Amino acid sequence: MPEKIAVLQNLLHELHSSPEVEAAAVVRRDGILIAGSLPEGVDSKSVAAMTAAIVGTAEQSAITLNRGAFRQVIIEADKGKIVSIGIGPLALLSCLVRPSANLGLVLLQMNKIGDKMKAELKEE
Amino acid sequence: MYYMKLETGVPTLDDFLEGGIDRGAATLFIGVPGVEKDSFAVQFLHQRISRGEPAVYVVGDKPPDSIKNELKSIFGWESAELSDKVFFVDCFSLSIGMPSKEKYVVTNLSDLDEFESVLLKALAENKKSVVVLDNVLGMLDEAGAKTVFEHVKKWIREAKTNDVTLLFLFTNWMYAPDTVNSLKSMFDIIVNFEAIEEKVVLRSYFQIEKAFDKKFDASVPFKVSKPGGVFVYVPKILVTGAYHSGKSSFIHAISTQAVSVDRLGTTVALDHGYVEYKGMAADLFGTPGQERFDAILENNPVFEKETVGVFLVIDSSNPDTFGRSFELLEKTMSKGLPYVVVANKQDLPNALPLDEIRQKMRLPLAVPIVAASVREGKGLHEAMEALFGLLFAKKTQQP
Repeated sequence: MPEKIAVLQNLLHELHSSPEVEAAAVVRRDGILIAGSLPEGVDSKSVAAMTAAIVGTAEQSAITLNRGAFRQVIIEADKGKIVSIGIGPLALLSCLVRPSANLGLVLLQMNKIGDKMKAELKEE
Repeated sequence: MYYMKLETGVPTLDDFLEGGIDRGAATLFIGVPGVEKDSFAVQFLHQRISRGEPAVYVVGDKPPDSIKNELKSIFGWESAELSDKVFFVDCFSLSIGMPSKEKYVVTNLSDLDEFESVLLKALAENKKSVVVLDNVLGMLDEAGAKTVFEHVKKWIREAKTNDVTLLFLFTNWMYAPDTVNSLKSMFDIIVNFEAIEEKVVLRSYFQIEKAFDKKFDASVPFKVSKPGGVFVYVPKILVTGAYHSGKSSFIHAISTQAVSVDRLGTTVALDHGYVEYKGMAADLFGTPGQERFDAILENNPVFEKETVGVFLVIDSSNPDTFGRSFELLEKTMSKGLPYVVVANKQDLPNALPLDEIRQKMRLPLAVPIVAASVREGKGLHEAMEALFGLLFAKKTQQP
């Protein structure tokens, strides 16, 4: 498993290299942090749990309200955005994004790297 | 069968009335415009006609069809089936120029004498029945309370002479308190209906003011489901407890519909369920149990605001988790609220018996503990009855 984590860390690093991404994390869907770099002073365990709760609730809402397949949840706040996508049945990918960020580009990056992460998590 | 107490079918109401409305009593349902008193009357009607007793419904401000439609949409009665069970005194149709095919017809409700003669005839021809008078005092402003109320007294006397159980529905269109009290004084049983706005949402309540010489002091929230009828309704019951105690399973097992936000076997956000059982209805909100989700519990209006009661679910075979259960009560700001301990997993061989659990948890005697096995479907409704019993306990004030 540590090799997987290492691969995920590298992929997260790739994501982080984009100047618009402030932080990123891979979170297990039931709220446990798998890998990630979150800002100083942030309780990463708590954030992981909340991210899982947010995505879970968002997905359920999309299903219940007949909106089709869930794509992403975007939280917009004054100092920036939090974007989360699912990466397979086991995990989700969450990024903290600068307020000026081009969301379209960020999502493109996230989905590209997310696919690689999905493949990595799938291998058993 | 000749019943002395006539069930209304609304649980808490029947409890307070010790079985139901007394045969021969004169009952007043009084409320602000808009609260569904007539749903209670229709439910009462349904109870009677289901037992083969005839009923008379006097419609003052609506067509007989609207009552027939309620009987159909709530209780499934077809019009044809009703023709020999409910007799209408139609005071509405002719006043708007429509013909009436009902057994008793009043041309002009403002004509007190005409109305009274038709009503008395209906009473005499339907002895021992239940008669509902639904908003028949349209002439109150015109004719004056004093005159009208003398007539009402007479109607009540005639009803009792004919062994009729009278239910009088009256909408309080901002009448003077003296007028209202004067009307109330004529009745044996008085139930007030109110709609209270609580943070934008309008909730309906019924409050039994008196039943003969007993006075009460309880407001009971209710809702009307179609189909279904009148339900005593609790808008938020929290279901919480340590991780893996069976909260989500409990909600799914007891609810008519439920949804969970759960991943990989654990609740990550919440569960929500809606249950209707024996005249009781509630919306259930389940919390996650895992400690890592505590941040979501704290300061979360979904769990904290307007919670009326709590189901504290515990794994009977795992006493180490009991402490955590109390922690959750605290984190959801539910300490002090009425709660029932659901001792789940009683089917497991090493499950602790109830008295041991009570001891280990140091539960006050006033807190009910219900044996349950969600897996086997046992104890669920007992838990609900226990919590509703706590919430709507009969509190009598003797005069």
